Amino acid sequence: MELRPLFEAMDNLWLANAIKDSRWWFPVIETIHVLGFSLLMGTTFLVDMHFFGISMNRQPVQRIARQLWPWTIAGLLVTALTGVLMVIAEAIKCLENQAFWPKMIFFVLAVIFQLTLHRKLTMDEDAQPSPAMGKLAGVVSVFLWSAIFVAGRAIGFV
Amino acid sequence: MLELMQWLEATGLSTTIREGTLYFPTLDGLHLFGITIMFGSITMVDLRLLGWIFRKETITDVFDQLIKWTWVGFGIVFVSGILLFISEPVRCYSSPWFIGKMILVALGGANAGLFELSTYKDVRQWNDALVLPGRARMAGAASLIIWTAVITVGRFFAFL
Repeated sequence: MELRPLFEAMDNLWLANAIKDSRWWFPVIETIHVLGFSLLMGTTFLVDMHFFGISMNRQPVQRIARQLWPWTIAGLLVTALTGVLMVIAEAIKCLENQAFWPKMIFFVLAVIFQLTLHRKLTMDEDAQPSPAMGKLAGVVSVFLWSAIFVAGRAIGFV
Repeated sequence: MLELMQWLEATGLSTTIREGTLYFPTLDGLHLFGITIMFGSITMVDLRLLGWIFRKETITDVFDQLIKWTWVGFGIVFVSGILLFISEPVRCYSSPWFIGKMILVALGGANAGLFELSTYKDVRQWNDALVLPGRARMAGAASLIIWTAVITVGRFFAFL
């Protein structure tokens, strides 16, 4: 699949030029991105660590996960929206960046995992995962989001 | 003061971090990772004080179970932050963003300390109240605003 024309089109958007021409837009968008993924990762890890007995374990996992879910989704939406804006602003850089594509692959995997298996194991009252299964889900979740985080940081440095 | 910063910048540790390919990105990544843990856990407590999250749980259940994560995050942020500072002390010292960030961090710490040492002392009286006392809600709102500002100013320091 040839992606370059798509990224070149993004690079030529009015929005891309507006962000590039401004001293403030990019830092503002990036800051909101950081706040968004703090919420996303913070709430997700809180549920994951429950499987290891070290976060909010006075309550059952479903009870914690259900109350956190709207905030996880809010964090995900904020992160994704600001992420799209940053890609538009730096389309060609992203296209050619060695860390960008691993990040996108991990991101897709993480979102699929989060919305399916992770959601079922942590929020479905009937799921009752075994401790080993729960720990595995926690490890996979922490690994995927951490991989996105590391790759994301690397975009700015490689 | 500037001379002290220049001396610090000339030390072996400062030079090593600054000139290595991986030290700075790794420390910067750790700093941000610590921020997600610290800010994430603080935000949960703040939102609970405002009554926007964990409404089924008591204040002490949320606070006592999350405060240890705040300290873990703070430990990571503090150590990586000191090392990042050592790698470019002159730039930090001469940046209003950096000075502003440090003032905001002090404010955030003072707000948290004040909450824990005074407001939180009589938590048993409003632990499962539907609407919390004004001073508890104020502490939560102030904390949310201050730490968001810390992150914002910190990011602007990195960019501008």
